[in-house]
Amino acid sequence: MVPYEYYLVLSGLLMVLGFIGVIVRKNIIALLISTELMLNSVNIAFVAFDMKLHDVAGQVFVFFILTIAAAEAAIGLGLIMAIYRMKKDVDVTKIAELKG
Amino acid sequence: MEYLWIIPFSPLIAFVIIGLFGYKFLREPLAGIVAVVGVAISAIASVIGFIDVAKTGNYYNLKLFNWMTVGDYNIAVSILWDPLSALMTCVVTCVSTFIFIFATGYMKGDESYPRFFAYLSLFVFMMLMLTLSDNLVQLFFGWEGVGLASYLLIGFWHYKKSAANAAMEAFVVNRVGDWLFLLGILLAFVTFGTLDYLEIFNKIPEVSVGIITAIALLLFGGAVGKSAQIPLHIWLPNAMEGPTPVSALIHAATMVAAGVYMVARVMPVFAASEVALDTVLFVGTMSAFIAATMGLVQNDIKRIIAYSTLSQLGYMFAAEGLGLFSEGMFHLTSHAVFKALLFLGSGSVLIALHHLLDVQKMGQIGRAMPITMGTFLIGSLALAGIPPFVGFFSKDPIIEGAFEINTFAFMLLWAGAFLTAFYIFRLFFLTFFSTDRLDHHTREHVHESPPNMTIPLIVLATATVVLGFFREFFINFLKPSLDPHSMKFLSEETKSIVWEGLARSHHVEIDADAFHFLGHSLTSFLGVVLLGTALAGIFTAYVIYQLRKVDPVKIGEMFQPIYKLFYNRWYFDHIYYAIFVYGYYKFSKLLWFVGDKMVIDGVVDGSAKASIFSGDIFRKTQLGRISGYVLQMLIGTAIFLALFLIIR
Amino acid sequence: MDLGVVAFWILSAIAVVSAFGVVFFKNIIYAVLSLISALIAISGLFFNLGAELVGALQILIYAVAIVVFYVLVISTVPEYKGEAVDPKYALLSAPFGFMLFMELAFVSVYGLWKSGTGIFTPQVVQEVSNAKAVATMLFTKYLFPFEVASLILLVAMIGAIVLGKKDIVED
Repeated sequence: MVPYEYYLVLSGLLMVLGFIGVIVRKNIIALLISTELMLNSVNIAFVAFDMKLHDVAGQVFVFFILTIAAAEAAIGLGLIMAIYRMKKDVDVTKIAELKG
Repeated sequence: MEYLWIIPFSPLIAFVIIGLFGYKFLREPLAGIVAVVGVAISAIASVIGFIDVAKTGNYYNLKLFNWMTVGDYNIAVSILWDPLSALMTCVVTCVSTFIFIFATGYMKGDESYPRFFAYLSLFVFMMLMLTLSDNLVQLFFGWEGVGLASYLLIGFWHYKKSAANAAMEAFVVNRVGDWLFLLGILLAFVTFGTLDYLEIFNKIPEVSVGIITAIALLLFGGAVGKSAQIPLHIWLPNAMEGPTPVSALIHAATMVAAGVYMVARVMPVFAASEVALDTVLFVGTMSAFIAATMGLVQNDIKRIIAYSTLSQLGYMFAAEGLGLFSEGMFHLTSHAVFKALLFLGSGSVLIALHHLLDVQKMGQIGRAMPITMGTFLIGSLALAGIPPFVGFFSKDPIIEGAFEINTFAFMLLWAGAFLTAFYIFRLFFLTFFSTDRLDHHTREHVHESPPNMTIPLIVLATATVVLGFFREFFINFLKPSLDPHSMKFLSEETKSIVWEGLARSHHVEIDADAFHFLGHSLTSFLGVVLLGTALAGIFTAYVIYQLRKVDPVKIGEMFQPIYKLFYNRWYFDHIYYAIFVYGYYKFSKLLWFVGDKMVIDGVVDGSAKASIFSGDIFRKTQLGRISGYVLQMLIGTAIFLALFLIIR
Repeated sequence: MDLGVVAFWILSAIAVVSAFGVVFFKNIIYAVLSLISALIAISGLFFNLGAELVGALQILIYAVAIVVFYVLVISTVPEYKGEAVDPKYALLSAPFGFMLFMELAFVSVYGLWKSGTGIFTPQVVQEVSNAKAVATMLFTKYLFPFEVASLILLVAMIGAIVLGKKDIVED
């Protein structure tokens, strides 16, 4: 068996990649996709912990995360649609109403 | 003696009744009647108590109820009923009764009639709390209470700007004295651990003279403010803006005498300190003389009497400073009677002349109002010190005592006696005789006052004539309160200290018996001189203002600088204005500029500027772009996680 | 070499490469396809770990339902023509991202993890099956959060409908 720590490192790597994705991408849909990546890295960590600690609570939480991810995707994409309808654009650099 | 509680609370009940129902149900005649009944009940009760004390010479110390507890000292609302407080209470309640009756006529038709009597009743209650107190805290409560009542009544016609200002001035000037008085009380509490008179007296031997002196001088500071002595006298003449019964009751007969009473009340404290007695003597004589000079040249009928009040209060303080406490209290009593008479007489004149105040515009109204004129003459003679009126029996002993004890004080008091006789008869002649200077319209309406105003005048005039012959009774009556050897509540040690403190007056022998004193005055050189002085004052006034042999204007021009000095009241008001009002204004302006404009505005504006400046900097971090915020979050997370790992 | 180890390395390699694809593909369709690839790899990892239920749900919900959302939206929104990556942000995020990764890796490898304190030991899970163990917990101890999750889904559904309605936005 692979040590569970490896799974955690993988989870960290995916998390950071998702983070960077949110930062560097300019397409707002890509931002949301990167977020999904981060959620999944957390899922990996949860399941790995579960296996290490001989518990199933983490898997229950993975279940909840799946639920939230679905909700988030629905709402987030709905918002993107609304923004697109107003701005006719999905570039985050153009959506900067709160610039100080 | 349990019934004594009626004395203070009967006016209080009257006050509450009038205050609650005055305008709705009682209105004009009833409110006055309630007030008169309230004060008459307490007058009767106090006379009964007075007779009891006069018979037995005992003192009673009743604790009515506990007021508050300070540490292990209980301050009780209480009554100390000894000859001194009995005398003062009787003076207050009896004079009040007649003035209340007079006021029912004087205030006729005033739209604030119930309010006036509510205030008057409140004043009497506070005054009785002051006189009956057995501790300094209750005394201070009454002291402030009469100050409040005085403020309310001076400003009774508050729509008049001058009245409102005078009320404010009285309050503020009194505050100076009260501040000292409060400090005195605090020092006494720190020193003695108690504020009951009787306990304080018996602890005097344990305390050093320096501290006693400090306490006495601080308490005297309060007396100077309340009794309008120099240098805190300026409020009293202006206080004449109030209705005349108020001037008679508060600013002549009772409240202003509270300072004199207080000094007599804590007599052992003052007697234990030579410096304190000297200060009292000095302030008293200076006030007696300076106020008399100010009274010479005033033209406002009430102000002339007000300056005479200042002057007479000065005589009382002088008597106390000389160690002749009984004489001072006797003069207080007689002054309360004849000064109330003079004020009520002037009030009667004012009603007849529709509140014309300038004596230069009056004249020859004596024939139209014989009762007022006759009683006013009696009061004037008493003030001038002509036998057989009470003023002679109370004022001359003070001047004679001063002759024996302190030459400086004697000279000033003697000169003051001449001036007193002169200015009061100047007022008398200008008002009732002399030439007719009234305008035609007013002249037609001059009339004698109604009976509810003349009867108090007649009663007080009778008292003025008769009271002097009870001199011996009063002096002996006061002995258990003011003569150290007869004071039952003093310990032997305190008695000897007080006796030594009053050593300056030991060699003075003044006949207590009125007839002996009269005979002595008419035969001895000093007595004749004093009597001649008073007569000379009256004669001078007669020559100048009645016969018009000498033109007063010419005299004024001849002594231009002195006349101006007197007319401007020794520039006291100007100096106070320059120092306090103008100085305070300047100081406030400085504070406004430095404190408000620079410091506070600087802080406020500065904080706004600081937040604008820092906001300008931090504004740049608000990129408005989601990626930017997430990047900041990434940096923050990385750094804090690193810190966490390093520190661990 | 154990099959599980081989599977781990292959699946994680796919997941990482796909993740890079998600982040750096300019075409959004490619990015979504990379995401599907990553999700399937991750679900494989779940199976590898022995969490069959979660692995199955991962494929069902993520790889099918959610990705379908994205595809629908992408087909609605016209193709994005700008550059995929902001170079300034890329430069800034790279060192800090690397730093965060190092920290996470350090914590993962050298952290003080407890082990094996729960009641669901491999033997128990073997006996009752993973799906039953998770479901037992879900419907007993976590029943209330479960209900709340259903409510959130409902709210999200209503919200998505409201946001998606054309006329309201045009007001």
